[in-house]
Amino acid sequence: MPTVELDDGRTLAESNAIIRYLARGSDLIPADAFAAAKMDEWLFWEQYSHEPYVAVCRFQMAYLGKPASDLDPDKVKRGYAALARMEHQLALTRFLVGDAISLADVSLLAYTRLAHEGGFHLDGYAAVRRWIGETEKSLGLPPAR
Amino acid sequence: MLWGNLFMRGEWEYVKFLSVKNTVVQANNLRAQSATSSDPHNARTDLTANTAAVSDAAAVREPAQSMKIYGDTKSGNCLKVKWVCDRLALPYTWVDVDTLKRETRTTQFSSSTARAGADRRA
Repeated sequence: MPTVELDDGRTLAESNAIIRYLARGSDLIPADAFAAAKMDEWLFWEQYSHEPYVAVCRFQMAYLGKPASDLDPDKVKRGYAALARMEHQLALTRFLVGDAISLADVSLLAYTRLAHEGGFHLDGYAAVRRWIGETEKSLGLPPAR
Repeated sequence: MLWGNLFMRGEWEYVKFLSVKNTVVQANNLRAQSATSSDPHNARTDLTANTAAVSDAAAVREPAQSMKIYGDTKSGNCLKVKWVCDRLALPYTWVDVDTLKRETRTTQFSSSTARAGADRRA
């Protein structure tokens, strides 16, 4: 999940592939080819270096009821490493790819805004917290916390 | 691009004329139009504009089929898709798949109700 069935019956899976298809031609994908590639860099990174740690820790705590002390320390360490990479970028730019929101922000917002449910503390990540608020506002979402 | 836009404009007038007589035909035309357009962004814009125009006539009929999203609203990966659709006002039918309870529940969203839905289901 998720899976999308288009009007004509064709189906598409993988969240980042789906949003990339649905947002084609919109302002959620940078017009500049290199900026669009940087957006893709974040989308692939999200699935390989962020979601497996930040989202999985949240799943184990919020869905399976594990206490934070039972989480795999390596997953926690890699989760914080992912948050640190975002913090580094977001201290430089308003959104992940420059000054305009893109699919990179949509994708990474999904689990970063819920990181606390996986035992992650964002106290030392001021730029990430600022970005969560701005991205939620831009998408018309109520604050996650 | 310029000629493409002129063509789309022609389609729009044609569809608008038909809508006076038969709303269902209009819905079908809209779907055909969006499916054959070479420029997806323009097609989507027209679809939104037309849907908004019909709601004023109080004769709204949902398309027989719209895009279906199968997902769990508690899953971040699923919410990504919902946020993009709501932000771009793309019509869709959300089929709730609760992975833990194995239940499905269907909710239909038109482009005009998508934004309200964001608040309800976030």
